[in-house]
Amino acid sequence: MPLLEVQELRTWFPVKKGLFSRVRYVKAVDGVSFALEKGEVLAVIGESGSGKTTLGRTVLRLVKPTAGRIIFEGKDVTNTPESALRWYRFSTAMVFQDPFSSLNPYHTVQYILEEPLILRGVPPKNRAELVVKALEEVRLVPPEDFLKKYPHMLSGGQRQRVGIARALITRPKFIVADEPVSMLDVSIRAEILSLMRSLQTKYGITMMYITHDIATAKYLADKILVMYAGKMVEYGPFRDVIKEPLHPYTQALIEALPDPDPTNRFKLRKVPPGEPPSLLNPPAGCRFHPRCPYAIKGKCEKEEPKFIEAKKDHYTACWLY
Amino acid sequence: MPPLLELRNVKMYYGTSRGTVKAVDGISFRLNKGEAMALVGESGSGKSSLAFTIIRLLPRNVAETGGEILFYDEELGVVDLAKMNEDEIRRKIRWKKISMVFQASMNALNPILRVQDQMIEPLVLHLGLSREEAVKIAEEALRSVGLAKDVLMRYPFELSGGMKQRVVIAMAIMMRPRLVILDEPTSALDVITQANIMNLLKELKAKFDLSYILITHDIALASEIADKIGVMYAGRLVEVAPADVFFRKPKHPYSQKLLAAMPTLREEKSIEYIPGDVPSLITPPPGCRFHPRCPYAIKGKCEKEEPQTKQIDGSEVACWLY
Repeated sequence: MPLLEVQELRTWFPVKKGLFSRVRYVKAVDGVSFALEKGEVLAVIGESGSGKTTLGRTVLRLVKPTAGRIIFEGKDVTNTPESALRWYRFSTAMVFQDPFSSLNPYHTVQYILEEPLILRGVPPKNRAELVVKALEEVRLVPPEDFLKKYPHMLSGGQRQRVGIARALITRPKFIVADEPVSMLDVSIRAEILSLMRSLQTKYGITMMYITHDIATAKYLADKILVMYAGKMVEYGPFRDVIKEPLHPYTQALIEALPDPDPTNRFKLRKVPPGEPPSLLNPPAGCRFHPRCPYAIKGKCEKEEPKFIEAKKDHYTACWLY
Repeated sequence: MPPLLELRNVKMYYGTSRGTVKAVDGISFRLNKGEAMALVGESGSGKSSLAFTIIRLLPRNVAETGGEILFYDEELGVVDLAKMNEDEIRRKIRWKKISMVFQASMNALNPILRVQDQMIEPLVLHLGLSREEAVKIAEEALRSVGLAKDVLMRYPFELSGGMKQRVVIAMAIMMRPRLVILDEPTSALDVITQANIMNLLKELKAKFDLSYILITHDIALASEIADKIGVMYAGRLVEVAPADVFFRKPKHPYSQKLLAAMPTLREEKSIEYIPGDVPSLITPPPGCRFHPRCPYAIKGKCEKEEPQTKQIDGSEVACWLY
């Protein structure tokens, strides 16, 4: 049995322009399914506005799903009322994108780390010990130097390590990390990624790693889910998808990403023009068709492609397959 | 290739309540006509400060400046930008000869002004062109960045991020400058949009024979455009090398570490990180500024004496190992 199973998940936000107009929906997440075994890391890849952050928040039940199912450890948590959701809150955690705004500036590092423990009723004596251990684990050493500091006294990388320590201090089974390194310098990214990898392996944490950067995902992910305009377009084992991306959008994402190579400057990258569509009014048929170099006339702009298993364990929604 | 810009021991310090920040501390390099140079380094290494020093947009609390910034131009001859006053810079240099795409500048477009009014403002106000001339120039510039001229009548909120970035680039090139300074031109954009903007920059460079100074912390992105790489660390340039040499054989330990820390998609490698933090620019470490983080630091030497820049197979590097 997988630890987490998500079936046909939909999160739509109603928008109403004017008093008498019809309610329309921003379909931020529109039919996403995946399953994660214990200890697996799923990379959710997509550009801004693809719905990847909403997906992460919905899975954690921070946003109410519109339709679909979220099954965690065999229990359906899709519509569980908040009062009966405490166990799920205690089993999950989130690492946020922006380490500059996700830590309370009025709290010390010690209190930031202690708070989740207080909520869980851990006695004060054990709390101090756990906080010190958590700081050591994220290599903020010696811990005494950091306990009494406020977030503004730390560098971006140090803050993000506090963010990770806070998420891990309660030993959650499942973590959503939303772009945890995108605001950091490239040189610090490597450190945070390897730290996350080692802690994830050590505690067998199941993780959803949300990012727009496939290169950083490579160092963490077992599986990959590519989203475009609220839809999942490709899903499969990370290595297979990177080696042989099936969906033209995934191909473009990979092509767009440079590796450091001085010959890059002599060639243009073959990437589709334009930008992702509005989620309020997405294109009909396959949502990628206006930008797709392989779009089939009379088909792609009319019918929405089904999600199929094109290769073993490797799924895509594209009329080419 | 003839030179376009030459920096000789350029300095720019600014004062804060905690002390003097030596943001640019003795930088020398040469940029040739039609060449693109990337300035790479971590945040706080002084890259953006160097850009502002070149285009003479100095902070208000500037404490000390020094050195020569020689600009070679057919019209003006050789001029030292560091010795020109603000009025001369505004009339002769900024926009016309050297322009800049500022970091996150697409978000700095005024939301209540049409694109046209923002584009022609510097032309009318600073260069004294008539409105009609200015509009014509703006239209032409938009065309060269791949935007239709009706964008002129739109407001920034009607444009996507990539389109706004194109508008900002159009503004930078509309007076046909010789040098464009690009400060993290794609940092707020999605990967595919970023690739499209880099393609555009390559096309414009060839079309107008532009020179670029690209400021970025992303070395992979730098390889998209740079003929030459300059690595900055704590206000100093520690290595300048042609791109072909740099990516194959970075010489300075800091350059090596930066490359090793870069996550790559295609290459099979494990990433390493650089231990420690970027030093304070108020009290930089003595000797070589990288020595506290350097795995090869030579005791009794690196922490005492500052290494001089040396030429080694095409690279200029400031390190005691060479």
